[in-house]
Amino acid sequence: MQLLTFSVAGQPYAIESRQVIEVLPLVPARPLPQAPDYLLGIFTYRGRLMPLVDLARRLGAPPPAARLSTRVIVVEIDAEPGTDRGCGTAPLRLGLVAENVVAVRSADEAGAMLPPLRLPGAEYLDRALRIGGETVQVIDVHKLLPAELTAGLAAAAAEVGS
Amino acid sequence: MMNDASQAAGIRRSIAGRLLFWFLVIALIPCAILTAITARIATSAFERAVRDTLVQTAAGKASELEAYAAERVRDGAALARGPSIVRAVRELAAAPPGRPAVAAEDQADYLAYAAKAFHYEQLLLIDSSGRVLFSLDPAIPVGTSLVAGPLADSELAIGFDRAKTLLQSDLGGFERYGSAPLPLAFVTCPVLDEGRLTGVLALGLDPQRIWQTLSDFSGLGETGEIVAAELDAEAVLVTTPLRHARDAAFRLRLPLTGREATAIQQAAEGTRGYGPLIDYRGVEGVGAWCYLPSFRWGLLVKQDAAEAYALVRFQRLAIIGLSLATILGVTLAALVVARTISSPIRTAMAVAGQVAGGDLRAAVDITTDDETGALLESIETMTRDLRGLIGRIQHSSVALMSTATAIQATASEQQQVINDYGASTSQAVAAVKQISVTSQELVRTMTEVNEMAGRTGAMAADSRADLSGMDTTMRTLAESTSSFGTKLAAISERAASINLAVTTITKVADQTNLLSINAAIEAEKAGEYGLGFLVVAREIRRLADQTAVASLDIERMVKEMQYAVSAGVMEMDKFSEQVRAGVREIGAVSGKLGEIIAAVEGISGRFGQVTEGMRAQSQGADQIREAMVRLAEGAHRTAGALHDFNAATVHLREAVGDLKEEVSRFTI
Repeated sequence: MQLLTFSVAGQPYAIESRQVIEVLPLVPARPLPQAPDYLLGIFTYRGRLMPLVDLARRLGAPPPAARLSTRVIVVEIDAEPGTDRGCGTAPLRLGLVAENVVAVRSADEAGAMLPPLRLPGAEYLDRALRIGGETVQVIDVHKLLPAELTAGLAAAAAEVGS
Repeated sequence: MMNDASQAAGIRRSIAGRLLFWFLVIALIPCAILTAITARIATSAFERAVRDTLVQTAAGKASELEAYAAERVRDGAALARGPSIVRAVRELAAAPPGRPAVAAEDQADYLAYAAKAFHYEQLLLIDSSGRVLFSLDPAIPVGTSLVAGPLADSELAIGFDRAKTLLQSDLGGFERYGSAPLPLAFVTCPVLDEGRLTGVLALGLDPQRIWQTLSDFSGLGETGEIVAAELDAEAVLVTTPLRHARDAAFRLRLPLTGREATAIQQAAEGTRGYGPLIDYRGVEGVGAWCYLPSFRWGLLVKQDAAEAYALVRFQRLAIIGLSLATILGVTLAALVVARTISSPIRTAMAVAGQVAGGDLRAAVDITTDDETGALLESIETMTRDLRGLIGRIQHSSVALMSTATAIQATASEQQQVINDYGASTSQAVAAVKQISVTSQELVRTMTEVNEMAGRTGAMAADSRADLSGMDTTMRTLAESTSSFGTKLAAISERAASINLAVTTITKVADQTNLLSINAAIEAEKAGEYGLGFLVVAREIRRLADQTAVASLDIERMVKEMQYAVSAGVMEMDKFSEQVRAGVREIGAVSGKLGEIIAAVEGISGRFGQVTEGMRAQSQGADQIREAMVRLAEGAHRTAGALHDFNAATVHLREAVGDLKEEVSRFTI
């Protein structure tokens, strides 16, 4: 299994690379009024407008420094997380801003150290793995955003898609 | 003063107390003994007088009543022997039985007359069988029998029996008969007709006469009275009206067991006596008692204790009052005498206290011409003399004080003048000394300056030669510095261009890294077909990382170089500026030195002349200073002498002040 690693507040995290569509350099986003602080705004990706989420702030850490290694990870998530509505569901694409996005690393699934945690308010925490002497927390992007926010964003995406 | 006062009080107490004590002892003890003896004698005399009065009164009354009773009996006996009575009995007894005997009118008149003449209230003629033949008072009707009927046990019946049996006249007891208001006692006399008893004459006595006798209270005072009583079964029956109970006769009974009946009971039982008693009212009294055999009565003559002993009580009160008055009088007399003696002594003490306290104005009031007067007079003389003496001392001390003050003021003034003079001289000496010292220093300094000027001239000439060489060297240095700075600037410029190149390399490395990540992601998505590509992507990423690291190193090195170069440029600029300034200053110094050398050479010659003049001046100043010092010493000695004089004056003044203070304690 391949994991795209990044860091939040100096700690290593990862996203399964099969959930990743592309990694982009940091792009400016247009802010949205009345949005939660981790929702940085919307940006243009290949001619489409997509929401941009700050992973660090979503995980409760200070905002990331503007470096070359601070990049945007484009992912695709289910409109309604936790339900399987088949191919009829319009997938939602998100840009996630993360620090130190410089490597894709292989991990053996049998080496999973900790099953997914079930912390209230932090359902996005998936397994924790051991890679090259480091403990890496895997993030489940489908559960990253609150359900209602996901639904709202998905509705807008569906309008655009039709 | 407090002490004096308490002492005075102590003395007064002592004199007054002792006088009082002895007065009382001398006056009161004999008086008290005499009074006690007199009181005892008088009391017993009073008591004996009371006793005699009571006993004599009792005896007198008893004999009077006995005489009265005997007279009545004698009269009755005489009457019974008279022929009229004998005849009347005979005629009345001859009347036929069953019909009441009626006396003839002349007989009844005679009998009534006889009764009245002999002071009898009732007259009865009784035949030998006990039948009443004649009655003066219808309370006992004619025909009544004495043997049977209601009168069978009466005193009259007893008297009738005794007369008939003993053939003697006798007086019976009092008893109330029928409805008569007063009780009667009957004198029963046998009536003999030719030696034979034919009847009995009964003459009734009422108690009025007896009461009259007993109501005479002469010699018994306000409360004295006479009580007569007879024994009656369980009680004593009073038979006379009493002074305090008019209707007590034959009504008042005193039980035998009571305290009130003790004296009268003894009297009624036939005892004679005298002593204290409790009367029927419960009042304490004293009385004498005796027996009346004719009436079988007890007679008690008594008086209330309060009255009987009134004189004794009065005497006791009088003695107490007199004693108190005597004590009071003696005390007062003692106090007056004590005061007379102690008052002048107190006055003398007060005056002495005032004198001791320093007040000599005390006036002595001499009121007596005895020893104490003489004492006060002496004290007054002493005080007066002392007053005069102290007054003269005060006057003298005041005069002395003013003289001392005047001397001191003059001396002080003189000392001040001398001091001022001394101070001025000292100042002058100090000034001259200063001048002398200054002159000497000046001479010395001038000598040194002269030498220094010579040396300076030589050194300045040497310096100017050195400075010329240094100037040339500095100029060369400035030129080299400028060219070095130019070269450093060129290096800095090159480093900047290197930096630009490094930035470009870094960006390329970054893009390469990004590309490798995306390639890896795509390879993952391609599944098994992408595995080879994944390896390629990883290699690309490694390359990019190495590039990035290398570029980072270059960048850091270039930055350090740039920093060093710019610091060097700055230092060079500063250095070259300093060099330039040094060159300028050296030029200026060189010029000045030239001027100095010329001037020093000119001055040096004149300094010698000045120094000579200064030396002469210094010697003159020294001579002046010595003269002034001698002058100052003279002034100082004078001032010292004056100071001693002044001190002596102050001592004098202090001594006079002490004397004045001592004297001023006295008030004249």
